[in-house]
Amino acid sequence: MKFIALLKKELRECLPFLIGAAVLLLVLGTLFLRLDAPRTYGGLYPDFKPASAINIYQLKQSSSLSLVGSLLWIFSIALGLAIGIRQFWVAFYSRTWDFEICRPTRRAAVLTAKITAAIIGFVLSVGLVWSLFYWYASQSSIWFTPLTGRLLTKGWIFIALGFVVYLGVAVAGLSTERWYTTKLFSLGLVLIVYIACVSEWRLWLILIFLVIGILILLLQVTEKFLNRQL
Amino acid sequence: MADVILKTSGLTKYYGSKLAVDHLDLKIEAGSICGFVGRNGAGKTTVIKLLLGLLKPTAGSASIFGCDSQNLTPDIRQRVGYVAEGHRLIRWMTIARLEKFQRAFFPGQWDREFFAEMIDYFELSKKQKVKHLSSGQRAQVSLALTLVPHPELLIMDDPTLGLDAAIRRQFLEGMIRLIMEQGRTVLFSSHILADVERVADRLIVIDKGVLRADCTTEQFRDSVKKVRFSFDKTPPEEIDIDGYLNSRRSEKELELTLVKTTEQKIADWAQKTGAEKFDIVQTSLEDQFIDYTAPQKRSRLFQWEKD
Repeated sequence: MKFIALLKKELRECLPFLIGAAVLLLVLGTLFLRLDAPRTYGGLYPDFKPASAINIYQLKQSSSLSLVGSLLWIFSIALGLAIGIRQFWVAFYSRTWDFEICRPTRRAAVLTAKITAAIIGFVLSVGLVWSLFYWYASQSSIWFTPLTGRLLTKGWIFIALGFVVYLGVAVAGLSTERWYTTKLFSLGLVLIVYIACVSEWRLWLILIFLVIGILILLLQVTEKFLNRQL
Repeated sequence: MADVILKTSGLTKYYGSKLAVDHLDLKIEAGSICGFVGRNGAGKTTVIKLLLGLLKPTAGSASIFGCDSQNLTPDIRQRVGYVAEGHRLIRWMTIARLEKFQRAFFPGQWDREFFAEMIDYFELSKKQKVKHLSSGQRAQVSLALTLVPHPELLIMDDPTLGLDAAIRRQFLEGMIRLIMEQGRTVLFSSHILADVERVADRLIVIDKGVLRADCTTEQFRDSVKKVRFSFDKTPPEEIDIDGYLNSRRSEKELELTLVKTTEQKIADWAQKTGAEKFDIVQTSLEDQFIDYTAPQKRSRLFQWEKD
């Protein structure tokens, strides 16, 4: 009951960002897909057919869905920033931290509600739209480029990287350091995880980077949230 | 003897090198209504935040219902109502939504009728959004949300701060009406003595983080005296009377604030210094408090000094 109330509050507060990201991604992604369709099939490059492709890499790069993927990459970062700031910065600036923390519940429950809301938000917003695009692109007959499962996974990796950004922003928001340079130090770790993930092609290694990054940041968020003073 | 609800032992808090609370020892028994007073920056809010576990003490400890403030369990928090300074509530919620949110944390304790009655009493509508409420209305909603679960201990941090006289009066009347419930313990911080006087039966005075007085309002009133001595010459420079706190002087008059001094001692000092006469000036509790907590240098601000 208490947790549900907290979760509902967190979801409601993030709702404008979640809806905004989902709608924009849906509109821009559809636009990308539709504009790109004639280019790949009798459009700008009428000679480009699976048979004429040199290798699978070329095919993959030509996939319209990978264009949407770059949009997803941007939207995941933006969403991570927005949710992180909404949950962990605004409470201090609007001075509602006392009201949140003095609930007759454990601080850990308040934090869990925030993180759960963020995960649900990422999955239901950009995650759902991305999966929808993948399903649509794989159903459609107008794209000749084959869709690989890796493309779908890569999209979810971008979404997970958005979650890493969210955790980094959370750590920075909970930090009591006076200087903004020190306060934002956690974003350095986010950057390292990011670079490691996007520069690596082996999926298992990317997943390891992600898990390590998320675990370190989660520990930091938990420690700072449970011990944060005013 | 009544149970001790709230206790601090040697409670000390430093912000960097600045001392905010200095070895505070306090005990509040069940059923007492305590006015926690001090000037701005005296350390009232810090003490309250230490009590609620929102700040960690540098030294000493604080406990509520026998539970250390740093480890307050949800069960203990359920028994404590806290009205924070500034009444910061979740801005996007309506009063009805805020009620629903708050209700979830007090299963079986929430009195819907009482809440509706309070909202009605304060002439508010449940449909109103917090962001559209004035600071006075926010204070009223905050009070309602805190009182409706019938907390055994009510801690209010300067709840009338920033409210105009009319709203303050309405707020206090609402508060008085509601804290009359048997067994409820109240710690009410303020820097406005008139507010405290209306509500509290016990006065805790804090100044620069140090406990300066802990007594009933009557005891405080009887203890702090302002005495005006008249001289036919320049008043003496050295003031060596027991209980001397501060002074204000003019050419032939000396006004002293004294604490816990008998009239006999005052008369003796008047005779010793050659004062023509002395009068005990009638002052309000507010004036007594200001005199009691006024720093020495402040009384010199308006004093003409010869080179």
